[in-house]
Amino acid sequence: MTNHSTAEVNDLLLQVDDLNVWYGENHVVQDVQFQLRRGQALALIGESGSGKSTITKAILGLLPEGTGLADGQVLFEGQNLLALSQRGLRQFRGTELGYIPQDPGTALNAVRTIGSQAHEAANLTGVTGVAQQRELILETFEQVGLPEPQRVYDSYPHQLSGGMLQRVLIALTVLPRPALIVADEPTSALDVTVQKTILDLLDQLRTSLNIGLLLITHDLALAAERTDHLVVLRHGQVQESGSSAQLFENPQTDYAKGLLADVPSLNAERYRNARGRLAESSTDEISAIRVEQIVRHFGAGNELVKAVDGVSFEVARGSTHALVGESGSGKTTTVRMLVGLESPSDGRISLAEQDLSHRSPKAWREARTQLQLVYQNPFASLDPSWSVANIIQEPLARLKYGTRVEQKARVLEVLAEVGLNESFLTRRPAQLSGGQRQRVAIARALSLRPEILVLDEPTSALDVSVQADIVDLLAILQREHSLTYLFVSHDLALVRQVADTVSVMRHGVVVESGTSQKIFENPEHAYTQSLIAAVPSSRSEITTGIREQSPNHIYAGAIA
Amino acid sequence: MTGILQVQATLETKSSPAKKRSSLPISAIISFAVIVLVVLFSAFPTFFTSHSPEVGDTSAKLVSPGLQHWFGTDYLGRDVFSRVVHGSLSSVSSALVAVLIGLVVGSGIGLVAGFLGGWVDSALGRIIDVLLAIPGFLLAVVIVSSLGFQTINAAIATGVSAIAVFGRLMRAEVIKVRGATYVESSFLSGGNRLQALFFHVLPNAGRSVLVLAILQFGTSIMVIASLAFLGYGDPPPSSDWGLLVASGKEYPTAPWLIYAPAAVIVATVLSVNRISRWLKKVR
Repeated sequence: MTNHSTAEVNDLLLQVDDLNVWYGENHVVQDVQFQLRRGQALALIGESGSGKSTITKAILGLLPEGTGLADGQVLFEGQNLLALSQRGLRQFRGTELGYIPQDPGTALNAVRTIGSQAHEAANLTGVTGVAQQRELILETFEQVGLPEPQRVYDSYPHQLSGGMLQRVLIALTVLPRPALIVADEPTSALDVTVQKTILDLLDQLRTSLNIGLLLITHDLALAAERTDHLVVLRHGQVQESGSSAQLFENPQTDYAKGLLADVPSLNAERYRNARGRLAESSTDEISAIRVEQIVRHFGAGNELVKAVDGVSFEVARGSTHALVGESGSGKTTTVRMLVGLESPSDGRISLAEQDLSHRSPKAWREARTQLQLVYQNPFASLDPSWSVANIIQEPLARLKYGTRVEQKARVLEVLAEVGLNESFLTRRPAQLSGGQRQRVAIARALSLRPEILVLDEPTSALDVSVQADIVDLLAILQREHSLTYLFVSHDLALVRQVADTVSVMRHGVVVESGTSQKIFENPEHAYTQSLIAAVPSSRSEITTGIREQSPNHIYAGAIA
Repeated sequence: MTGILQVQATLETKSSPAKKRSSLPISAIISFAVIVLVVLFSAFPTFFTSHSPEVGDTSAKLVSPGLQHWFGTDYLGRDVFSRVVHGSLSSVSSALVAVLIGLVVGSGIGLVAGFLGGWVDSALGRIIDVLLAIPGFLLAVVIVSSLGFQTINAAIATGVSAIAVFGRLMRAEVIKVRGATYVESSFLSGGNRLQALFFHVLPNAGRSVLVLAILQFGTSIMVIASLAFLGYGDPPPSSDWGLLVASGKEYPTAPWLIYAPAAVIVATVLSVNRISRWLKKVR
C-alpha cells in the first residue's frame, strides 16, 4: 500500500534544525529543533502565542506569502522542505504530509458531498477509476470507525456531527497513506468522550500504518498520554524537550514545572487545597438555589425539541455545585433559565427559598443583586467601547446602588478584590489579556455583592496557567464572601477539585447527581463512567497517581 | 455647525491607539490641512481676501490669475478667489445639512429595523430597498424640483437620497452587535432594552456609520455642486462652487473661471475621502 520505498533506509522521518520564523519584524520562532521518528508521536505544547501553530505552518509551507519568512532546515525524509518551491511542496502535501485542522466544521466545503471531496484525496493515491476510488474511500471510512460509510459518502457536511466530521477529515488525511500527519489541536473542538475515540483512532492508525504524528496541543494531560516526545514552547523558543515520561516525571525548567503544576487532571490536589476549609463551614439549612423539574421546549418546525426535560438540583449556601455535560446536554439552557435570560416552560426555580418562576421584571431586577453570571468567553462579554471602570460600574448604575461616589468607591474595592490595580480603570478590553478580561468580568459580576455566581465555563477560553490563576481567585473570593457557585464545565478533572456536588446532564436530563466524591469514585450511571474514563490522564500511568483526601464535602442535593 | 465634522474627526483620532496616531501618513496630514482651510474659509472669509465677492471692478474683467487676483477675475471683474472663499460657507454647510439628514434619519431607520427585527425590519427594509432602487442623483433632482430651486432644498434633497445608504449600513451593524454577549450581559446587569440600545448597540454599531458620514460629506459636496451647476441652487449673485463652474463655462477664453473653483471642489472631496479611509484603517 505504501508509496514511499525509501522508508526502510532511514528511521528518521522529520528533522527540524534551527528553525526561525519572522512575521515582518517579529521574530516569532527562534532556533527550534526537534526530531520525529517513523511511527512515533511528538507533541508541540505551549500556550497561545507560543509559536506552535507557526511551526506547523512553516513545516507545511503555509506561511503567509510576503509577510512570513522561515529560515533553517526542515528535513522530511532527507529533503529540506524549506528549500522547495510551492510547486515542489505540492507533491508532498496531501500525499506524504497529511494535515488535520482544528475545527472540522470549517475545513470541508459545505455545498459539496463528503464523497465528492473524498475523491480529491483519492486522486492523490494513484488509484484511478471512480469505482475503485469509491471502494477505497468507503473502506477507509470504515477503518476510521464511521458507521454507515455509504451514508456518510452521500452526506453533506452539515448533516454530520462534529465528531463524525473529524473522522471524515482523518479518513481523508490517511487515505493517501501519508508518512507524517500534522494534527493541529485535532480534538479541542470536540466533547471529551468523542475526543477519546478520535485520539484512540489516531493512535491505532499510527501504529498500524507506521505513520509519524506531530500533535499540536495546549492540553498537557493529553500530550503526556498520547505522545512519545514532547517539545515545550514559550514565546517561540523551546523551553524543554525530551521523552514524555521523563519530562513529566522530572521537568527541568521552571516554566515546564509551572505548566505541569497547573493542569487539573495531573494534580488532583491543586485546587482542592485552596478551598478545603469552606465546605465544612457551609452548614446552612436554607439552599441558595433550588431548581425543581424545570422544562424548556423549543419549537423547531413541527418538531418539539426538549432542550431541558425535568431538571432538578439544589445548591447549599456557600458550596459549589457543578453542572457537567457535553454539548447539547442542556446545561447552557438550564443556566440561561436560572439567570432569567429564558423562561422555563414548566417547573420552579427558587433563590433562597423564594420562587422566581412568575415574577415581574422588577422582581427579576432585584434577583440580579443576588445572582450574577460570568460568561465563558471574556473576549465577547465585555463591551469593547467601554472602559474597565464603566464596565464594572454598569450593574451598580443600572440597579441604583448608592450615589455616584459610592459606586466609584465600590468599583475600586471590587477591582482590588480581583487582583487588579487602579491603572486598569481607564483601559479598554482590547488593552487587556484574556486573564485580565476574565478578572474584570468577575469584578462586574461581584460589584453588587451577589450571594450566588453562575460560572459558565469560566476558564475554558483561557490558557492553562491563566486558568489556574482564575480558579485560585474564585476559590479565594468564595472563602472571603461565602459565595455560592454554580459551576458549568466540561472539564471533569477541574470539576472534581472545585465542586462539592455534581449533576451530570445528558440530553436535557440529569443522569446522575451527588457529592463530587461519590460521582468520581463510584459513578453509577454508564454515561458518567464513560465521561470519567475519557479524562486524559485518569488512565495514564505517567502521573504520580491520585491520592484521595479525607472526605469533607457536603451533599446538598436531595435528588433521586 | 461647521465644527461638528472636526469634533467627530478628533474624537476618532483620540480613541485610536497612540502608536497608530503617531504614524499619520503625509497624505492624511495634507488632507486635514485642506479641510481645515476650507472650514476657515467658511468661518472667516474676510480674513483671506479683501476683495468683494459681489462688486467687481469692470475695468479689470477676465484678468488671468496673478498676484493681484489669485484665481483671476470674471466677466464683471469680480475676484474669483474671493467668490470661491465666500461661496464655501454655503457649499460646506449645505453638505453638512445633507449628511446630518442622511445620518439622523437613515441611522434611525436602520437602528429601529435592526434592533426590533421582525415585521418592523421587513417593512423598513422594503422602504430602504425602494430608496436604493432609485438613482440617488435622480431622486435629488426630483425632490429639489418639487421643493423649489434653493441651495437649502438641494441640501435636503441630497440628504434624503443618502438615507438608504445610512439605513442599510446601520441595520447591518446593529444586527451584528445586537447578538453580542456583552449586550446580553447588560440585561443581567439590570439594564433594559433601551439602555442596551443606547449604551451598547449604538456606540459599537455607530463607528462605521460615522466613517461613512465623513465619506458621505465629500459625496454631498459633489452632489450639491452638481445641482448648483444645473441651476437647482441659489441663483446668482450667490457663489456656490457648482454655480461658479456653471457660469464659468460661458467664457472659454477664460478657463480659470472653471478650473479654479473645480480644483477647490476636487481638493476638498479627495481630502475628505482620504480622511475617511484613514479613519477606517485606524480605528
